[in-house]
Formats: sequence, C-alpha cells, structure tokens
Amino acid sequence: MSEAVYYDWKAPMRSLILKENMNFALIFPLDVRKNPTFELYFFRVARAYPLERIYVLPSMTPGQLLDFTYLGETGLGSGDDIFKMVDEKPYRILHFGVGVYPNNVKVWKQQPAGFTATAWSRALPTKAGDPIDYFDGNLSPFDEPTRVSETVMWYKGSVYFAFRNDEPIAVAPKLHILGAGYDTWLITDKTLADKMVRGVVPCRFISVGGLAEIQYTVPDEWKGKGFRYSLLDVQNLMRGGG
Amino acid sequence: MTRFNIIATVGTDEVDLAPYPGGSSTVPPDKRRMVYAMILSNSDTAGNTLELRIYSGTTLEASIQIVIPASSTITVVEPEDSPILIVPGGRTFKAVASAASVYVTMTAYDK
Repeated sequence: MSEAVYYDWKAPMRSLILKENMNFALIFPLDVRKNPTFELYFFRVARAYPLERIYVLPSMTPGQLLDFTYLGETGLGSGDDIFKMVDEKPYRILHFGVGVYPNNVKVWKQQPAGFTATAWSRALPTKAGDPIDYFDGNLSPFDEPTRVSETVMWYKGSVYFAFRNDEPIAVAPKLHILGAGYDTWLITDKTLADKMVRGVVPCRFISVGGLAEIQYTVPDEWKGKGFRYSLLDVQNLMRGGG
Repeated sequence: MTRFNIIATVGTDEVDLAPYPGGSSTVPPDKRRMVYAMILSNSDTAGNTLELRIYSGTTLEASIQIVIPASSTITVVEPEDSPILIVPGGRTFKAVASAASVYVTMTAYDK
C-alpha cells in the first residue's frame, strides 16, 4: 500500500481490502497518559471473502438525530447485531467501510460500544451530534465507501452508530457496508511481530480507538498472545508503517 | 447535493414552499436554496397572479409576481448552476395567489 493511500481519508475501501497471506495488526491503546502503551495483535489473512450489504435506516426528518445503537437484523437496535460473530469463529475479523446515502447524513461511530473513551484526563467528545468526530456521504460516498469510515469487528467486539439527517428533506438513509471478512491466523512469534513493527515485514496497522483509552474485550483465544509496544513504536507506525 | 421538489397548491391564503417530503420552508442558515426549475399551472378559467415571497423572520424582504393566463401552464427550466431563484440562508419561502388555484412544482437544492 502506498503512503498516499495510507494517509488518504478518501482512499476507496476497495483498495484497502487485504488479500490472502497479507499481515495486519490491530492496535489497542492500554494507556495514553502516564506511560503510553499499546497492545497489538498480529494476524495473517488465511482466507478473505467479500462482505457487502445495503442497510436501510428508518425515515428521518430534517435535523433528526438517531442516538447510538447497533445495526440490527430487524431494524436499528432491534434483532441480532448484523456484525455479530459466532463463538466458534474467534479468529474471524470483519474489515469494512460504510458508504452513506444521501451525502448530508452524518454518521458517528462508537467502538467499543457503550463506553466513554478518555484521553489526557478528559472524556473524548465522541457522541451523537459532535461537530467534528463524524463522517458523511461527502467523505464516504454510498457507491465508494472510503477509509474515513474504516471499521474492524471481531468476535467480542462491538460497534454502535448514530446518525443525523442534515438533508433539507425527510429521507430513509442507506448504508453501503463494503469490505471483507477474514479468516486469520493469529501471529504469536514476537520476533516476526517486531519485524512488522520495524517495517521489515509488510503489515497493515489498524488502530482501534486511536489515542484514547478504551475498554475492550478480545476473545479468550487471543488472550496473552498480543504484544505491548511503546508510544515510540506506535509513532513510527503512524508515520508510515505498513 | 440532494435535489428535491417543492410542491404546493396555492390559493388566496399564503402557503409555505417547503422541500418535499418533510422539509422546512426556512432555508438552513449556512445554505442557499437554488430553484432551477418550476412549473406553474393555473386551473382557473380567469387569469391568476402568483406572488413568491421571501421572509426574514416575519419581515417580507422580497417578492415577485408572476401573471399566469387562464387555464395555462408556465414552465421554466434552467441549468442547475444557473438557478431561476435563490433564497438566501435563514429566509423563509412562501407563496400566495390572487385566486384559487395555482399548482406549483419546483425543483431545487440547498448549497
């Protein structure tokens, strides 16, 4: 992946989908204040399969806000979560973007769901209606979802979405969920992981929660198999690792 | 940019010209409402005058009168980037006619 794509918020999600045998790592922040530390889990894609779905939201009047909830099979916040994974697939990971129609519907994302993330001793403003922390159909068009909406989901993971209709008319917004599901091998070789962090072995790094402290849960099968890295290591990754 | 219709039946009582469906006749403060097409149909057997009005709050800021002959239709269509009428942000768009009934269909977008 080129550096331009790595940093481009509007890079098409199609260009970010990984193929078999490619490596990726999920970065979970443990501490971002006193002693910045991050836990990384490394994976290799064993099999990738397409993930594409159209999700229709309820009709929204102009200015209407729908607060954080999950995308349910029978409606928003109702029925099974469409991203729910079964427990016999602890190494399956979903990787997708979310295209939005119409353009002026704003989407806020909360991951993991139900927790207030904190950084530098204050709560982060990720809340429905927050004026900066959103994407919309201009940033992530329905036909071509982009990196700005990039999301990963894993067994035990959770994600909530909130929406606001900033169109001048009532609309039933649509989401285009486009990406891939991966069956993965968890990489437990620290030497190999170190090489990925140093950029010797190619790896795509995906941060979950950014520079914020979050509460997250991973499958039991992953526990004890992640590796901790310092802020310096992660900064190197942010500068172009992968 | 979402295009929308404004649909109204206008008589001697002033009516809001609001985006259909569910929109407001008051333009968002950070946008302008660009009307680039309109069809005005007068079903009356006498001539009729449609007055388009732009309000700032309760103050009538601007208005235009369009005379429509008896039992006739006026159609004006311009390119999207050359709108016929621009309603500024924060203003409210309304209409009234000298008699019943003028059927108004407009196509517009907010930018």
